[in-house]
Amino acid sequence: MAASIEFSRLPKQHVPRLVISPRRIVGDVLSRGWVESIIPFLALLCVVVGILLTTDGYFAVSNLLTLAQYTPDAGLVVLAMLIVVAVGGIDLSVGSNFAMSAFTALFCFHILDLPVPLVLIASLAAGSLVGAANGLIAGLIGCGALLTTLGTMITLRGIYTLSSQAWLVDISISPRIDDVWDWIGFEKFMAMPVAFWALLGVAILVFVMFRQTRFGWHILAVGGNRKAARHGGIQVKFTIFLAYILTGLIVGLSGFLYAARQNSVGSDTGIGMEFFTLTALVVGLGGFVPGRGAVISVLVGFATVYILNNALLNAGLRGDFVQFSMGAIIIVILAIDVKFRKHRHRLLASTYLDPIQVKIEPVAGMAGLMPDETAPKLKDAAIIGAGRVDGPEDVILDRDGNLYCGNRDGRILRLAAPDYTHVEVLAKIGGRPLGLAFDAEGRLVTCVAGMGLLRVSMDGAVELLTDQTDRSFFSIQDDTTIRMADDLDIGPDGKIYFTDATKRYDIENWGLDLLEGRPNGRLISFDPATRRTQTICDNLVFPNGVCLTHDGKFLLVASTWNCSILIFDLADLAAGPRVFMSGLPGYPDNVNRASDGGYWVALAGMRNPIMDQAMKYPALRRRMAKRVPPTNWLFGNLNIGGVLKVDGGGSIVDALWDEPDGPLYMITSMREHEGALFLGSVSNDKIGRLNLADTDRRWNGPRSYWGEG
Amino acid sequence: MMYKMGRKLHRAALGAVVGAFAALTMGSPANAEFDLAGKRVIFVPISMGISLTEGWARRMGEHADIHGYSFEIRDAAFNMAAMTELLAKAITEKPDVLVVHNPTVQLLARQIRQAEADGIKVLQINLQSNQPSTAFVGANWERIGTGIAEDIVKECGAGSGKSGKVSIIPGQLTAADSVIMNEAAFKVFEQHPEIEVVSNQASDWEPEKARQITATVLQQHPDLCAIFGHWDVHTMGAGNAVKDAGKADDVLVYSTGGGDDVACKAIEDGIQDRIWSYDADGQGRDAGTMIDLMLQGAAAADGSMLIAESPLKIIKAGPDYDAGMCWSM
Repeated sequence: MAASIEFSRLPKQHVPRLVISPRRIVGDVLSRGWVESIIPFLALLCVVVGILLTTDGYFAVSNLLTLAQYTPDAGLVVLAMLIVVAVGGIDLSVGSNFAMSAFTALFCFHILDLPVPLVLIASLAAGSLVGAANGLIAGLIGCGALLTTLGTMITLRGIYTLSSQAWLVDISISPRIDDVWDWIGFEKFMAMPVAFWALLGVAILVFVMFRQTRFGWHILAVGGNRKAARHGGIQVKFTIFLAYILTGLIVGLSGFLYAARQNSVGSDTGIGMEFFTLTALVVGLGGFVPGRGAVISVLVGFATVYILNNALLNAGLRGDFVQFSMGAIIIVILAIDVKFRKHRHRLLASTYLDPIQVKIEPVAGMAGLMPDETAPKLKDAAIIGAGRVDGPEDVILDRDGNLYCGNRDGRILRLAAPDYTHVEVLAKIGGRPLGLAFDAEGRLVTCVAGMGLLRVSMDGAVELLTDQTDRSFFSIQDDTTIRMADDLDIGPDGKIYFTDATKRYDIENWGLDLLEGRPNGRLISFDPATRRTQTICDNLVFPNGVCLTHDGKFLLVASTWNCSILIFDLADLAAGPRVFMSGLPGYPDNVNRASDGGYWVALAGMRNPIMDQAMKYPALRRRMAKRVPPTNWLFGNLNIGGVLKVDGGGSIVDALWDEPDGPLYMITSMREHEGALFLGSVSNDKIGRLNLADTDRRWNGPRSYWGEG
Repeated sequence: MMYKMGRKLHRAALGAVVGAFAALTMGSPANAEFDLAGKRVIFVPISMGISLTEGWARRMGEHADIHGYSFEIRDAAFNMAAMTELLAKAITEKPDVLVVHNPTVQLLARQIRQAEADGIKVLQINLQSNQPSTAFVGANWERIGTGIAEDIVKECGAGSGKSGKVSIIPGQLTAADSVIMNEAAFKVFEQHPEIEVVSNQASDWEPEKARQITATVLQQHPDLCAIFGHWDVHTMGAGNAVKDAGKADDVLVYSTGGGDDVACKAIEDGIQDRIWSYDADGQGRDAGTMIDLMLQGAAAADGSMLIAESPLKIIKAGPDYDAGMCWSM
């Protein structure tokens, strides 16, 4: 029977609370989405710092208020342009539309004497009418956006010139004064100018629209790929039409705010606005990019261009010189941005791998058991399902002896007892199913790399249990999502303990995690009763196989690159792990119960002295990963694998190897079932079955965990 | 000192100021130095790069150098939206004197009122706003408008044998010069029904636009008698259109302007015929002087606007033409 484990006498395993590495910070930052906009942001920062150094009091409260009063109308037009660019169009008529909306407001206010709310509605209506015309021609009829809006720009400018020449003198000598009108144009609401709140409100609405609403997503889909959007069932033309109307509406609001503030328009009103707006947009987005609703980036670009221009003018430079310098500065910003975007992935690739010095305990407890010292016991194993399974990382058997395994193509396969010749599909999951365990109800719980923790009932129904855990406190990368769920076991109370082997690499690149050697994984629990997911222990070195001890009080967790097996006390998880075994001869994968109260440990590969040595030299591994093709890397020996038999106290009692050229290699899992040991491998196309001598022929896994049932 | 000041104040309209100033300094020795060092003046023109504003800025800058106050320029470069913002920023900096060049009578009115309320003295230069301020230096547009209109009546009206058709080309319809000159001119034309204004389209102060307007008008009215351009710079375009149409001898081109050597060249080349010059160089000196006085506390006793009206020169082709009437940078 199982020997009781003296937990408190085992050595403690140090687990870092926080992993800090400059290279990792750079790598993590570079792989964030917002880094796309880092150059515009840095440009803004440079502009701000430059102004701080060269001027006196530009950022004084009074001037910030002035900026907040005068910038919003242009800012609104930038947002309007963003919408139409996001849908894959362009609107050159924003300047004319802006002028016409402002004129409409002034006309309604000074000539028609309408109350201010009606003036606002009239401006909005005027703006959206132009938007509707653009949308009708460019969207519904399908003429090119450039041509259409060029046409409306010229036509509208003509109408504006005619109507403004006819009425401007009357407007400019109109005596009407209105408190609401002046309040909108000049006063403050909660310490900020009214127009500023309007810009903020619209920015938030547009932001939410692009992030959260169906219409916003449709706009981005249409802008991203019109054909795909149509195939996806989106009403492309109608979406474009609505986007133009929305653009017009926002321009109308902007024109209204401008009219209320300036109380006059001139022949130059809105002239060149389309180019200013496009400049801000291009600086913010780093190019003319449809299908991106990056509100914040665009506002950053806008602020950069606006403040730069404004500060240069305020510095007393000549207007034409300011334009010249603006052009030059914007070209520099864009050039840097384009280069950065182009090379960002290379930069990321060259900084992402971040090795650390790792010292692995020397091999211990293997006297007389190494492959060259003992007979290859696995050569007697029978081969099951050859060529019909692909990469059965884990294997498991139910009470009736049916065999289950995950397959590389994302299916769970069942091989029926007793001869295991018939292979059928239990469930199609997708992802890469790895660890398997039966729960008390006889359902299969599985860790699927790339997806999370899932449960499969025997009728083939698949249910996602969890794919997210708590975000770790200090992390640049959002590590909420479980990246590489690896193996699991289930406690007596039904609580599921599973490992997320590495947060930094996908399953195809697990080898890079070895080269890194850093504690990138974590142990997670999921409670089906409360459906709560919780990180139990973060920063473990490739936590892999999980096995509940026979007494149900402890949890064994294999730490693959450390060649050790950790143990957690379920009664006191916060105390952290201790070392159950260390100095294993290979890289441990799954750990499972044995019938005699001990455990089976799968070795996915063998250590070798040169790799152990290489693990001490991070720079060497980094250079190797950069300069040498992966096929020539120093690596653990995966061509041989085996199974260790361990007693209840963690001492190795036996080792099972195949012959050097045998069919069973890189063994990642083994299950004992009624006198036989089933062997799976993540990279093999077969399962081994070895009859064990001198074991309890009634013992099987489900009974060991859940009793007679 | 008083003698020197008196010489500076050679403009008759400033007589009142002299009085006020004399009253202020009564009792101190006549040679008392006044100290304007450290004071601050900000000039917000419609645009630099044109002879008017460059000429003014040069003279105002000279005064600033002499007396040691600072003189800064904030160039709106013909962008009115930018101009209001520049002015707003300038107001928050609380200079002692703001010099503004109003593109329209309405645009900066609120801000001028605000600046004056904040204790900043505002000097409006050449183009005034609806809103009066401490002082104005510039042309008397009513006088010019009436003068040109009467000259047009003389040349094109009854008994001249001409059609009486006139094309007016304002810079910006709502700019002070256009508002006032148009009003004055129409008042004159009303009394002369034979005068017909066939076009009154703003050029936005752009010669090219004035050229296009004029070319169209000439096609519609080949018998056009006179063109009244409100500013010599954009009227160049109109004059060129007339010349291109081969009507330089038939159409009289009138304009007003700062009277720099470009104006004289236009007269010599026959592009324009008669230019009412308000002498921008002299205006610059007037403005500089006015700023000096404002910095010393000058203000009209009754709170009304101090006005320094620019004397006029009429530059026209003919035996009296003298290239010395124009100034150059």
